[in-house]
Amino acid sequence: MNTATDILLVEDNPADVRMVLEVLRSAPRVCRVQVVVDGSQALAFLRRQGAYEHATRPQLVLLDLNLPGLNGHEVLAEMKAEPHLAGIPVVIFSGSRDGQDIMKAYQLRASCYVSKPDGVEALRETLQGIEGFWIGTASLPLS
Amino acid sequence: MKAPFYRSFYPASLRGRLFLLVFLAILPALVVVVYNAFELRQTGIQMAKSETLQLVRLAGAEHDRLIDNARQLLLTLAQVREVRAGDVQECQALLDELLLAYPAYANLGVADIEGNVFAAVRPSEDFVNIAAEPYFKRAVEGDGFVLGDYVFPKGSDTALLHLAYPVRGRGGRVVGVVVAALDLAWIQVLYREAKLPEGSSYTVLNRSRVTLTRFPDPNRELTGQTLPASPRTPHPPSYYLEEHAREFTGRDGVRRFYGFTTLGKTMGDRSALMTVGIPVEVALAPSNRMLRRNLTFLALAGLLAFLAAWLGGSAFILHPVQRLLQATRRLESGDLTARAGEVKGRGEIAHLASAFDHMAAGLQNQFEERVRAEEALRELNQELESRVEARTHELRRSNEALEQFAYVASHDLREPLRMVTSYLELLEKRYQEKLDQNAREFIGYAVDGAQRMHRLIDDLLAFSRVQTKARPFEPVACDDILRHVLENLQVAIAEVQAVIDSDPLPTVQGDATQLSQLFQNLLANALKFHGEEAPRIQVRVRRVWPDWEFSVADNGIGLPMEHAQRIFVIFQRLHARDRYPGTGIGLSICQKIVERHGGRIWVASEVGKGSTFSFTLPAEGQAAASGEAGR
Repeated sequence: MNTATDILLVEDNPADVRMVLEVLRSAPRVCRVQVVVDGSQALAFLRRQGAYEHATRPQLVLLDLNLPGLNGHEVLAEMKAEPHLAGIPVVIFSGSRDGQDIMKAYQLRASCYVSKPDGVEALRETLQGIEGFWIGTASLPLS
Repeated sequence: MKAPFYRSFYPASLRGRLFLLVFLAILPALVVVVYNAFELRQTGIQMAKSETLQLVRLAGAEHDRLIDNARQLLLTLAQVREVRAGDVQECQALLDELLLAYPAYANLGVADIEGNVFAAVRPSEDFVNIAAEPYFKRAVEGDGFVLGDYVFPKGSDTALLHLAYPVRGRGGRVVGVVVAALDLAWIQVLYREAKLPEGSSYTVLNRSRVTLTRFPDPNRELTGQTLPASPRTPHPPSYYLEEHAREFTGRDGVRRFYGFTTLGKTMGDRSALMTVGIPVEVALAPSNRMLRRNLTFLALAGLLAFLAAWLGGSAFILHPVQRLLQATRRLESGDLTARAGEVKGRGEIAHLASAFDHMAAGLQNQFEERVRAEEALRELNQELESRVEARTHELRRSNEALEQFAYVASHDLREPLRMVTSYLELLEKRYQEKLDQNAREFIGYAVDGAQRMHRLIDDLLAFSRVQTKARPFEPVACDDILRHVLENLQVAIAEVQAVIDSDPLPTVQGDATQLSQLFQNLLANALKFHGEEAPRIQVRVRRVWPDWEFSVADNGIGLPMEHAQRIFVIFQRLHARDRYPGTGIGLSICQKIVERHGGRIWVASEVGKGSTFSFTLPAEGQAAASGEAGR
């Protein structure tokens, strides 16, 4: 049984990427985090196109909204439009607390919307919570 | 008010008045004509009366002359020898000769003392023995000349008057009587010669009112009849025996002017009454004719005058006046090009028309000027509107920019701050043993600064949201708002053991979310800046037409009044941050909310005593002064 969790992090800010990686390194469960820096790469990764031909299908996607090129909402819409990608839980992980952003995300069938918390400890608790729920608790369709 | 009585027949129209004038002009002529006719009528009456009197007078004179002649004749005859001798043949021859000389006598005769007529020019049954006749008896008694009465001889319809004179023989003894008879045929001759007008009449009555002769009497019905007594001809007719004239209706039903006289007046006899009548109709014919003719002329003249008034009035008065009237009505109905025009001449109407035209032209000019002014105003307005539109467009763009800024502030500005705080924390945690006290302190300041900036961004966002997240106004019950706010502030109230007292609050027109924020900010300030004693906060309201004026008063630390304006400026603080935390955004937001609702906010305060924040809000149902969109 594979105990490591495959997570796709879509985030253009290296500081944020590093912080997430730092926090998840000390998580109880082993997480294998793949990082892409924009929406186009995210879709290519999920569709195993180009350089991502041998990419592993992630069990969870952490999607930032504010991305260069295709933004988070557009990536989400594309994913939910493709049946073999629609079953992957997508957690919107954004610095925005704007009501419209949140509403739009849920309308596009995001699994949940989480605002990036301030502080390392808060971030650790948040991410462990997300991972614990979606990988440990929630039932997901078989890949 | 009741109209004066003359209004009912005083004509209102010009034509009516013109006709009234014409009538008034003709009236004197009418009066003159009628008066003339009256005069002429009087003259006619006078003339008729005098004519009849003249004739009866003439008849009286003729009658008396005839009788006098007869007396002379009889007197002479009585002296003739043959008569005195009673010679029948000689007497007859003499009488026949006399009759040839005096054919006017109806008869001449001689009778003896016994009354036997032995000589007569017109022998008749009545004239055989006259002993019974009154005139014979009186003559025999020696009375001298005897004048008898008018009588109708038996079987005759011609009245005769007998005159007698005694014949004396030797010794003066009466031996016989000579007799003459006169008829009234002479009157007919006299009447015919007088040539009285058609329809005239004459009548002779004897003392017994028997009609002796009459003209006209075509069927001889009236001759011989006794005239019945009547109020007009009383009996004895003493008064009308005097010569006079008067008017009455004759027995033939014709109304005449009659002249009266008695015959035989000079002999003191008065044996007959004579009247001559001229018909009233005939006498008045000239005056009536003249009246008719004059009235006809007058009527024609009047007709011409009315016609002239009609035509002239139409041409010279009514037509121009009606044109003027029409022009006035057109002007009244708004046609400013209306002109009386073409009313020429120098009269009052022409003056009036020209004055009207001037007035109309003046009005038209004024109107056109006004139209031009309005046009200019409209253009100006349009320009203003387009400028306002441009400005609005600009404002909308800047509003959009502000919203964009709000988004950026909420998202993009927060990201780097979060990085700063997160990595500072990571640094502090991971390298704890390697950092000295100073380093940890420095990191603390950096984290604090970042966190404060975080709050400033949040507050700035809240401030901008007063505009960008505005909702349309609706009736808001302030009591509900206050209850909700007190629930929110429950912990803070309990902490400082504050006492809050509120008036019953009205319903106002506004944005519920923003009003909650307003009350919450003010109450939170009152709690925050409390003094030594437990805070007492009073929420009051009063009506300041047309708005409500609210106030929140506390017994806190107060503030110097020279700062009263500054406290509403964004991020303005009066106190050290470590004593009273906060960014200084609360009152700025309060001001912005109140201003958006068309009200104003101000503070009255005394240091150490407390502060009272007051603000006004529009009453329910009242349109807010704010130019808020979305209503």
